[in-house]
Amino acid sequence: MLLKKSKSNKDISLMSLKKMGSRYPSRLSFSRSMLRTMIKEKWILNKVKFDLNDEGYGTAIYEIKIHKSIYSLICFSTYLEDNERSDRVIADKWDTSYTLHIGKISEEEIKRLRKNIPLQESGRSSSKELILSRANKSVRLFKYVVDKLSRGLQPDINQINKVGYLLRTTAVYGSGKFGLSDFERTKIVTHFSQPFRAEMLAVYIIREFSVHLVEHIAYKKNPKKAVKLKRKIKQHLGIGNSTGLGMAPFIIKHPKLIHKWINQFEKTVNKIKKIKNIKKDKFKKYIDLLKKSKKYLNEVVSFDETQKNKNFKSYNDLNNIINKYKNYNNDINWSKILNYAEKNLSHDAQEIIKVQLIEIYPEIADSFAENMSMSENLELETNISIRDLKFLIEQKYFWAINIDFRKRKNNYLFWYVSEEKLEPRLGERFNEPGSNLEDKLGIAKMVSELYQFILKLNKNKLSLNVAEFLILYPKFRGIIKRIQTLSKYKYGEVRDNILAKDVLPIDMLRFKLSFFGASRYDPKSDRWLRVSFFPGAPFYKDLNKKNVDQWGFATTDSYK
Amino acid sequence: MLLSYYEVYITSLRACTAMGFPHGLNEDAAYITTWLELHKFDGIKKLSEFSKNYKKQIKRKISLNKLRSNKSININNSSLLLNGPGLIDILCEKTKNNNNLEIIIKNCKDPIYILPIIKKISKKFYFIKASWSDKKNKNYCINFKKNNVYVGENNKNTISYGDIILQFLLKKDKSIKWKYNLDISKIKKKIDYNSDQEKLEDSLKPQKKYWNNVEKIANKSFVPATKKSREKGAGGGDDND
Repeated sequence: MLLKKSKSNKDISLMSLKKMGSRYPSRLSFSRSMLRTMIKEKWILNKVKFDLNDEGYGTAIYEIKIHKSIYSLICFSTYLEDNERSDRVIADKWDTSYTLHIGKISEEEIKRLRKNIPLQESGRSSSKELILSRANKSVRLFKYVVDKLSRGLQPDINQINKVGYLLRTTAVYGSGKFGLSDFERTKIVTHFSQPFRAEMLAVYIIREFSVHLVEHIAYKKNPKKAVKLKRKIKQHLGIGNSTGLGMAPFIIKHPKLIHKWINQFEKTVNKIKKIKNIKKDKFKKYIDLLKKSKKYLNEVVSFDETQKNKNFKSYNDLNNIINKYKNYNNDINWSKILNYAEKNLSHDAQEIIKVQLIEIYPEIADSFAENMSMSENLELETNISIRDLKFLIEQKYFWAINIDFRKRKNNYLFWYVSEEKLEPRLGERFNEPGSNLEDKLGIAKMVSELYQFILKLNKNKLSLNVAEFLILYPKFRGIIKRIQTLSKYKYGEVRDNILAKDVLPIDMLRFKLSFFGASRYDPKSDRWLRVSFFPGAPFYKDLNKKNVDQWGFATTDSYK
Repeated sequence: MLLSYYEVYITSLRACTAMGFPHGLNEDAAYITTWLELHKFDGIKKLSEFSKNYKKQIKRKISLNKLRSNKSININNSSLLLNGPGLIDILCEKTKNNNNLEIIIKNCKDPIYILPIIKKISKKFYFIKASWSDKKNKNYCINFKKNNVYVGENNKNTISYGDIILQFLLKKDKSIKWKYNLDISKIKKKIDYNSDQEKLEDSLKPQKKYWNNVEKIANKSFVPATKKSREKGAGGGDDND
């Protein structure tokens, strides 16, 4: 039986994997809002300890003063054999490791942290620590930059552009992991009440450290000749990040939060769409931003064929829309442009059209960016009858119940947590062991199973309320709670079957990364990718009100 | 051992999943365990002890027909860790019909689980009160009001071991005549937002032997590694750079 789609087809497509995998960072992204807050609230960043040997191994501490509070990021840099370097969760050694600590760090605490932080998952953090992270050197770039600087030369910005970073984080943990402060506490007792704000601060400071580290090693190598990185080149460096499957379960397990992020984004766009009388200079600014995005697409490096094709298509699409609207006239309005984009451009290009539009309306976007948090409770509505629940499923989950899970291709994959350092993985149900321990992430399948079960119930059972039904059939408690709660949150569900043989998990990864503010997407397989944070962002000493929001879609000639 | 709320919750969740709790009830049980541990009611010890008989416990269900009584419900020594959330859902529904409900749960062996279960739904009610006695005849009386939990004693009622008296009031109504007086005569503990924050700062401190046992059970929810899963499960490609 095929059920008719509800009216809001547009809302649904926003949460399809294809759309999710086409998103770009915007003013609402967490890296952007963190940096804006840093300027607005006059956060002060100081390097208070830099105790590294000639090879760059040792300890550094950066203090961040926010009003009367101090937070400290401690960095441990240690020797690592080249063949021990890995981006995988299962790695157990890294070039550098970090924690963001509440308050100043005493000598005694340095000792405790030195024993634990380089061990990462195997060490212990305390409720005084907010973030735990590690980063590896880029084999391609780090030595090259040290070599150049030590000889008194600047690295070629085109080489910088090929990689994008000196250090690459492979995990940034927060929210209670490994003993860290729980977010319920963090959001009350620290200045980091917005999701992932502390994480973004830590990552920004790690980027600072990456430059201090490379300059230090170059100087020690050749004190007489060594130079520092020029701002124009340095600013193009981001901080790398390798991200794997762990981000996908997050999206499924935090549906209300995901709804909130998308809803804030959509509310921003919808508010802008209603603006009439667009002034010429505003419109010119917009077209200039689209041109900047085009340059970015032309320059950004990816080794993945699909990503390259996506970038190529987006480049052409942007050309198309820039040409179509290059001549300003009084009839132009944002709604028209967005509608044209929706009908004629690729998903990636559509997203660029939106994020650049948001860029020119800070007065609308920035307050939404400061309200990205949400209670995550899912609640049952126990007085609803099973008959009404069936109707609700048909209305809100038609995309799930139309999938035939008897077909192998629709039930092909299973998500699980491996005993190897709890690495999230994907398995093939019919070819690999472990599906009996699968993580309950296949929402479409669970909804479908419930629906098929309800279809077979007699009239008496259909008249039971949810509370009574769950006494008889408690195995449906989780999915009913989810259906009932999320029927009120239209962006809460990924509206695709993530167990399907042809699913691309990387789409979910990119979705979450876009809200973090990551760019320069470089997929390494269908399950993990490399990105950069803060590429083009001014370093702390250069950061000011004027440039804090100017660095999106940075290109090699963005720095004057 | 100092642990975060998240660590206790996620490990309890994995342990409950490994024991065979249905999806949804595993989340409820993990929340119940963690809340009790946070507030020093030995949530992890209780979960560890529950695990010894979990196969029997999982089979014990409450009959829907028995729940239809308005005066008492015999749960036949089934655990509230498993059946508590469903039972309280039913009692909430009953309360909605009359604005109030006074009921005795009989043959309950783990009444302490009622605390976090009711705490979760209590903000929707004017008040909820619960009282029981332990094996040594020590009385417990709990009042839930305005998102706060008051834990104390009340010796005005004779309560048999295994019984819990519950009173639910949806909207304020002074005219209701309750059979039992469940006002607390001496408050021993107040649990509110501030105490939650203090406890989070202190971290959770389950006893090591029980924690180790719960962790051991949780480990059964992980999939054993194979060569194929190691190579392909998280995606191939060059993981150095």
